[in-house]
Amino acid sequence: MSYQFIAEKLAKRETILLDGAIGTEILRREVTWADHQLMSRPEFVRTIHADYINAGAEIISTNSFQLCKRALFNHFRDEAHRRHIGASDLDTRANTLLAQSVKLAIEARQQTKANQPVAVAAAVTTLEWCFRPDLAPSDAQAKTEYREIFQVVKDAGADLVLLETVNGIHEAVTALKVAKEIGMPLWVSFVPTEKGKLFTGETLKKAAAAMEKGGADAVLLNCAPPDDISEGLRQLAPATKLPIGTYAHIGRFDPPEWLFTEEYPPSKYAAESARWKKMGATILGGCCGTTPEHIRQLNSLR
Amino acid sequence: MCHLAGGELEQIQFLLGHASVETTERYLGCKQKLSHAVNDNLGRHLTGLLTPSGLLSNLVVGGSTSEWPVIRPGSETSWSCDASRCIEIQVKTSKALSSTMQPRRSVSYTVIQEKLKARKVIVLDGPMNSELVRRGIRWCKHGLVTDTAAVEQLHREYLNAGADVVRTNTFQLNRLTYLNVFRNPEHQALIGAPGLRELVPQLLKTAMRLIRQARIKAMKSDTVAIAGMLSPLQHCFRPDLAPAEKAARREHGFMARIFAEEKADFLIAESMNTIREAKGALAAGRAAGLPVWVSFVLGPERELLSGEPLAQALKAMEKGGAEAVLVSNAPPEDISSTLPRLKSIARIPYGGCAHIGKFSPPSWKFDFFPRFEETEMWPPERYASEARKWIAGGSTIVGGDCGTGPEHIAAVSAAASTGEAAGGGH
Repeated sequence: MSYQFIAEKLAKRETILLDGAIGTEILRREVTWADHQLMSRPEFVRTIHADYINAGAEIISTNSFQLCKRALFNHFRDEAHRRHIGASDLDTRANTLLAQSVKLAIEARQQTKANQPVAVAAAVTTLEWCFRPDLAPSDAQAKTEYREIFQVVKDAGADLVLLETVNGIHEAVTALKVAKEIGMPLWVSFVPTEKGKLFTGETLKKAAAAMEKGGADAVLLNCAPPDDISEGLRQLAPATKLPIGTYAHIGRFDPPEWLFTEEYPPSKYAAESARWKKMGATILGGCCGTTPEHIRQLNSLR
Repeated sequence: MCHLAGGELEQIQFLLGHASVETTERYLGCKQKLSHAVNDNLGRHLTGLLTPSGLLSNLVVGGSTSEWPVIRPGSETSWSCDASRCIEIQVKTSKALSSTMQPRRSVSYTVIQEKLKARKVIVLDGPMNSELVRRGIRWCKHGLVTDTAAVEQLHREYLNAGADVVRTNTFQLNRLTYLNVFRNPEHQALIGAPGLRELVPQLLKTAMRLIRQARIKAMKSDTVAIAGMLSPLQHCFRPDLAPAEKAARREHGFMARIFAEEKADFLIAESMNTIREAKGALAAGRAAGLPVWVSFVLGPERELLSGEPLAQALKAMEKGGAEAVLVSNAPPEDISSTLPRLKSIARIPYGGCAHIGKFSPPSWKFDFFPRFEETEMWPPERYASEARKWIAGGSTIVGGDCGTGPEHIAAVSAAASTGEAAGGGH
């Protein structure tokens, strides 16, 4: 239901503000991100969503980076091993947390008096580690897993799925098929290299064509430094009629956490975003390292 | 590492683009070594040139990113041509060492060895990682940057609990841990934090410094041995990802040499899940001139996690010169039912460590996140009673794995001394 106003804005190519990072924002607020904090500190997660809504975000994305069964199961040799030494709730934990991540975003929306309507996007990442296209599962396997994930977030009340940090065309096409089947609007966001290609080496031109054919509502670029997002946008913008979005990360990945730097203070990030808008992006937000203040500064671009 | 290998802080500051030396100090977590300027230490500098670790530090200064290891499942490490000359030197040296030289035996290792010869029980410490997490340490870089006091404190508690061997806080800490989460080394250089390439050697040295300090403060330098801990280069529970033997030997060799330089008494190649990686780690440790023990993860079938027979693994380790073999990373009952199988076939000392509770990884973590729940099912006394069975069955090395803590080791230590008083079960 909340997707209606977003769909209208998309159709008119009006600027839509996304939120900023949630995982790194948890870290920046001095809390470990080990469990997404979805069960242990729900009020803390809701507060971050609320801060983004108050900063002007029209879409808030759930706190669910790389949250899926596979991420948990990957820590074991196989099912026999998992059952032998693993925690007893591992079979259901991922889906429980996923549903909870949607619930907390919806609750934050209910509790926050916003000036703007707000949609909840279920943030879904590649099934395997986002920066490793070499690990991607088979089509059939991916289909089964995405079907389960999309159904869980749909049932929990998400308005759309934002498939983020996608490293190859193949997995995105599979996810699109599943989203159509289940009836969820899907936005696909690719991570570009410094040469403006996908991590698989495929071109964004090819990716955009596949997204148009598959029926994505928007195609975006995320989880790369601003310069790489710019390079990706140079390739993507002339190649598609779909609405385009950008949300860069700022700072450095310091596994398993994030190194915050002063390289892109909110005003400078807004200037980058203004440039992306000029180049054709109508969906603007922030990835890892960005804060509510970064989003607040984007309001002038609406 | 650049700093620890003798690089001046000002230079690192420049390389990292830090605004001030203070920033660099904060980043590296150390102080300027005003009294040991790099060029005053020529001998050490030259040694550095001949080893990959030294090579790395030199290339760091040159700003190159090309000699980084990339290991994908079952494949050999691929190194770029920049490093090939030095790798050749390394391999030649390693061969010469492993075929002709006996490992260096320190005073404290000799004490352990004598005890084992006399069939006395050696008590290992418990885990660092799961216990630090249980204590609320935010699991990042093994606590070796942010929580060094807590790390040293835990070592001291294990020493006070009666451990004869303490192991470094380096489980699943290797260069691949920080590389696997990127597309490739270039991607790591582009979006990764500055200094990631040098992080692991730096952390290994910190881990050694903390464990040495703990032993000195406990006044047990001559009686307790420090084991530098090697562990699977990929996830400890994923034998399908384990590297090939040569690749394993190369990367474990990189770490083994650091442990040797930092005066570890011996090495434990811990939680090996395939024979091929264990062979590589064992050879690497011996080439670095240190005695090596090997422990294997047991699968639910009570063979290696890879499915390879434990008996075959034991034989391969004996052939490769391992001085002890352990079974580990499985519930206590599994260890109890597995150890008796070693009694008739092991020609070297053997033993075991069990984990307690249930492994509960968080959903997004890519590496081994050491959290074990439901550990209250195994209070120290119950764990010790299981260890008593191991000792009675002929095991002479017992310790604790994930989920156990200093109290478990204290109980095991008490069990070990009464076990010996009763004749040690022989």
